[in-house]
Amino acid sequence: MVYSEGTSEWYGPIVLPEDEKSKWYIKPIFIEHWELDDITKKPIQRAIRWLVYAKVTDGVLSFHWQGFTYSDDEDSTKQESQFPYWNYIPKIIEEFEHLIGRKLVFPNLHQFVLHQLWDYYRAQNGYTWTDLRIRAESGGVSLNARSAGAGGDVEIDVKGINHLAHTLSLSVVKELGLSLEKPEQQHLQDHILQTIIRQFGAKSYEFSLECDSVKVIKAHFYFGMKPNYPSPDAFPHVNCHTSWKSDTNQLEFIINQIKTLPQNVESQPSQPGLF
Amino acid sequence: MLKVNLASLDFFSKKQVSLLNDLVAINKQLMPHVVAGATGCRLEEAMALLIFLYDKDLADGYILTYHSKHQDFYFMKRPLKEGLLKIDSLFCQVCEEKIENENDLLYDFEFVINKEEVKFEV
Repeated sequence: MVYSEGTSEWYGPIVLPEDEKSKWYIKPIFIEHWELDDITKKPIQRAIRWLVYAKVTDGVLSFHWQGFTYSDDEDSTKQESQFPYWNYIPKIIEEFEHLIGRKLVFPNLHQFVLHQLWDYYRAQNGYTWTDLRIRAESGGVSLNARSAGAGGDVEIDVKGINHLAHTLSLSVVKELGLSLEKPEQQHLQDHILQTIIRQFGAKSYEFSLECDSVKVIKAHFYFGMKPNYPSPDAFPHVNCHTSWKSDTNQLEFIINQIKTLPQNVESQPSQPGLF
Repeated sequence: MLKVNLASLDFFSKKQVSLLNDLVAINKQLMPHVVAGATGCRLEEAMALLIFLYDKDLADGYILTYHSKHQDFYFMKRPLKEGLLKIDSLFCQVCEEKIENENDLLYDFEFVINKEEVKFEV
């Protein structure tokens, strides 16, 4: 696989000297892609070798991949679209299950993020929790909002979730003729923001967590709220900001937290977990 | 105030029932993922709760139909008991296209609590 294109099967195990407790497996998948040939300037079909990694440790199996854009037909070479990894990864996981002869269980990501981590870290001194993005659907309304500053886009800034919560809180105060001190106004705004995130049908949620300016995690959690939909909501997974902190470090944090944080709700898998 | 005992749904903890009460106090239009997100229960547990409420006539059930081209908005909402429409009579009001293929359709459920005040307990 290193010296040639390889075939679409699992290679491994590979053990890295710096982490002898983990075993890695790699599977190349070949994706048809159209691009303009540099010389002829005509569309030419090539294959992208997309690599999916499986990391096996004691009781936990994680799958890793990178997204990319591509052209799936001759006419779209100038307008590449996002590769629909959600059509592939669940099948790859099923295939791995057959290979190891075990049924894997996804962690309950929405419980983990919106309740376990949320309840513990939002109120923890020294920690800074920043809401970055929410995609939600409830009562026929679809919400897709980024936090102010998250995208560096003026339009998105204006539509930020903090701005939305701020506007709603001001509207409530005005309509009810209330006169609130600044901390009370902030409390109301925070409560509205938390309602939007936790009680308005979040399908995915992105946040960052720092401890005294030390980076802990910055990731977009897809909760798998729409199984069988051809979208990122089809299965639970995490999109880590790897330029902020490595995905393996962030994964380590997630696994440690799942294992050690207090459980407020009894609904955990009894079989090996999977990411 | 109508009290609803959820003892038969033994996967709901007291904490989750409390979170469920917080949810229905402000949002009575419940999709499975709305309940799951608010209480931390699994999606299939949320669906079991909603079917339970529908069976007890505490909620009205609806099938939401989505066009695969814009999955964030449903284009049709029908009472559950009326079932699905035939594909040849479907027209997407969001993108104003006729639906040609049933593979272009996706479905979800919504249950609307039909009682003014409900309190869940275990």
